[in-house]
Amino acid sequence: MKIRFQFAGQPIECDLTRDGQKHQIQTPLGPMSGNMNAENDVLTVEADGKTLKVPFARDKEKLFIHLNGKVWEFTFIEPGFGSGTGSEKFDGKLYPPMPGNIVKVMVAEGDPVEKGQPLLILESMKMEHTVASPAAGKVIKVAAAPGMVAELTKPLIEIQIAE
Amino acid sequence: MAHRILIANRGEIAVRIIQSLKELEWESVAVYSEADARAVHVKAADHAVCVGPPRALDSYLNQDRLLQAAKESGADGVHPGYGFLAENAGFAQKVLDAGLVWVGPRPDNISFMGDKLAARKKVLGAGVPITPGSDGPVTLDQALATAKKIGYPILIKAAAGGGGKGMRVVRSDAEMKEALEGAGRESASAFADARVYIEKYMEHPRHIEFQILADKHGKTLHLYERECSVQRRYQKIIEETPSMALTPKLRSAMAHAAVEAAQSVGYENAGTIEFLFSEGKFYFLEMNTRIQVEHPVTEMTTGIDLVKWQLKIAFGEPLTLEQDDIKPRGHAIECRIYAEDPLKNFLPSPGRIALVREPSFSNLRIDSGIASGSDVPPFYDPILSKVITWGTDRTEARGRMLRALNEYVILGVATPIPFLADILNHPKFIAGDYSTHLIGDHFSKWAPTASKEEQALAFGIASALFASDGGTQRPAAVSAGRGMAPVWETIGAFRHGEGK
Repeated sequence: MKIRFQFAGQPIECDLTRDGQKHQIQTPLGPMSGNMNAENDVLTVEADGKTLKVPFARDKEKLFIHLNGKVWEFTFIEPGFGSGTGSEKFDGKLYPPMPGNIVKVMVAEGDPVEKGQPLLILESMKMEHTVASPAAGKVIKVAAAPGMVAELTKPLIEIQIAE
Repeated sequence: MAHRILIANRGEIAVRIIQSLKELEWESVAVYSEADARAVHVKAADHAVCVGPPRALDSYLNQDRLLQAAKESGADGVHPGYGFLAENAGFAQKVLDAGLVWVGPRPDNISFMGDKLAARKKVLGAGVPITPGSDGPVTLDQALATAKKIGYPILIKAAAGGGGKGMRVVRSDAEMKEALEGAGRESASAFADARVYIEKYMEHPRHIEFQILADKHGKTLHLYERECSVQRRYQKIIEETPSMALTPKLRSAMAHAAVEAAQSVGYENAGTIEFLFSEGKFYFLEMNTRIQVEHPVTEMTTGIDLVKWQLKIAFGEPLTLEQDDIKPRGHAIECRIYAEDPLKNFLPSPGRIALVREPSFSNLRIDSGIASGSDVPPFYDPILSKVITWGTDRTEARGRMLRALNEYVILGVATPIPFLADILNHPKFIAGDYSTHLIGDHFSKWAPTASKEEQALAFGIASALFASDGGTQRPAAVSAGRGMAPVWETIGAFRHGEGK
C-alpha cells in the first residue's frame, strides 16, 4: 500500500507491504525492512540486527517519533486529498508563524511590498517577531490590527503576488 | 514553625520551589491562570488558587488578585520565583504591607538594583568597574549622541531589564530609531517600564556571574561563579560552573567585587552579580535580585539548597554557613529546554505536549514543569524544563549531559535538544574557549544532520505507524497523543478529589 506524508514541507511517498510484524518499505531514500511492533507509546524496531526503541506520539494528522536523540515530525496526507505537492507554497494568504498578539502593522491595503519586507510585528511569549512578506506583490487585504490575537488558522494579510 | 508559602509563578520554577518547601515541611500554595488549570505545578502543590484569565497581566501579574489569593489560602509568605513580579519592588512592598513575608530581597534592594542605571552608579562608587554607556535613560537624540561618544556598536538595554528582554544591538545611526522603539515596547510589555539606556557593546565578551547569599544579620557570602556565555537572543541557554576562563586570582577578585557590590546596598537574600568578562578584565553588568534560572549548577557543586536558604533568610534565620564552608566540588552543566524551534530562529512553539519521557540516572537532575498532555500556552515565557548534570570533572559532566539530551523525549512542540547536543560537541565548547557569540558565530546556519540510512529508517517507521491506523487517529489506534490523555486526566481528577 502507498503511504503519503509530509516531512519538512516535502511530500514523501512510501510503498509498504506487511505480514504481521514484518514490514518492507520502499522509501524515496532506499528500502527499509524489519520487524516493527507498537506498544503504547513505543515502537520496537528490529532491523539490520539491531533493536531500537522508538517513542512516538500522534496528534491529529501529525506523527512525532524520537530517533537517535532527534525528533521527526510527519504529517499524513490523506489518499486522494489534493495533489500532495506544493501545499507549503505561498498562495498569497499570510498566516501567523505562531499564535500571539499583534503589536504593529506596517502596511495597508493597496501598498506594494517587496519580498522580505517587514509587514507586521507579532509578540508571543514576551518576544517580538517581525513577519516579513514571502513574496513581492500588492497588499489586497489586511485582517490584522494592533492588540488583536493572531490565530494559526486565520490569514493576517493577503498579498496579490506579482507575476 | 511550619509556614505556608504562596508561589507567585508557574512552570518549572514553581515546582522547584515546592521541592524546597517539602524539605522544610512547609506548605505550598500554587497559583494558576485559566490556561494552566491542568499544569504540573498546580498538581505538585498542597493547595492551588486560580488567579484569572490566561493573559499574564490578568493572572500572574495581577498583584491585587495574588494578594487576595495569599489571604484566602492562609499563606504567610510569598515566593515570586523568577520573571513575572520577582523584581517588582512595588509588589514586594504590597506583600509586606499585607503583613506577609516576601521571600526575596527588601523592596529598596530590588528598586535600587532593578534600576540598572542607579545600580551602575552605586557599584562604581564601591570601586567595582562598569562598562561605558549613557548616564541615564535616552531619547533618540541622546541615544545618537551617546553612540557618537562611545562608538558603535552599542547595546540598547531596558532600565528595568533582565533576561534579554527589551535589548537591541545597534551598529549605525540608521538602525537606532526602530531599535529604540522595539526595545521600548518590549520593555514596557515585560516590565511595565519603557525606559531604555545605552552601553558599549563588547564584541566577544564572556558572561560570568557570582551567586550571593546574604542574611538579615549582616553576613554576605558568595557561592562562586556560573559561566553563562552560551546565549541566543541575548538569553542564556547553557550554563556551567566553574568557568574555564577564570584563574584562581581572577575568581577571587571577582568574588570580592561581587560581595562589595551586594553590600553597597545592604543586600538581603539570594542574588546574583553579573559581570561581562573580556580580555582578562571584568565589568559589573547588573545585579539580579531573585533566584536565577541557572541556580541548580551552583547547588550541584556546592551541595547548598539556595531556595531553602531564600526561605529561611526571609523568615529571619541567620546563615549558619561560613565562607570557608563553601567548597565547590566537581563540575556542573545546565541546559535549558525551551518550547522553541532552532530551525526557525528560535521562534516560540506553543502547543500540546504529546509525550514526555525523562532520562534518569545518577548525577542528573531535571527541573521540569511539563508532563505528557501538558499545554504550552503562548502567553508566557517558553521555558519547559532544565537538565543539569554533575561530574567529578568537566568531561564527565559533559558526557552525562550528552547522554541525558539523547534520552530526553519531548514530542509535540519543537525544542532545541539536538541543537544543544551539537553545541556541547563543538570544539570551542569542548575547549571551554567561547564567548557570548558562540551560537551566532558557529551555529547560525545550524540544521540537524541525518544520514540517508537514518532518513530511510525514519520514513519506514512513519509509514508503518501511519499504516497501523490508516493515517487518521481512530479510537483503536496505537496513539500516545490520544491514548495518554484520558488516563492522565483521570489521575488528575483523582488527586483533586482527595480534598486537601
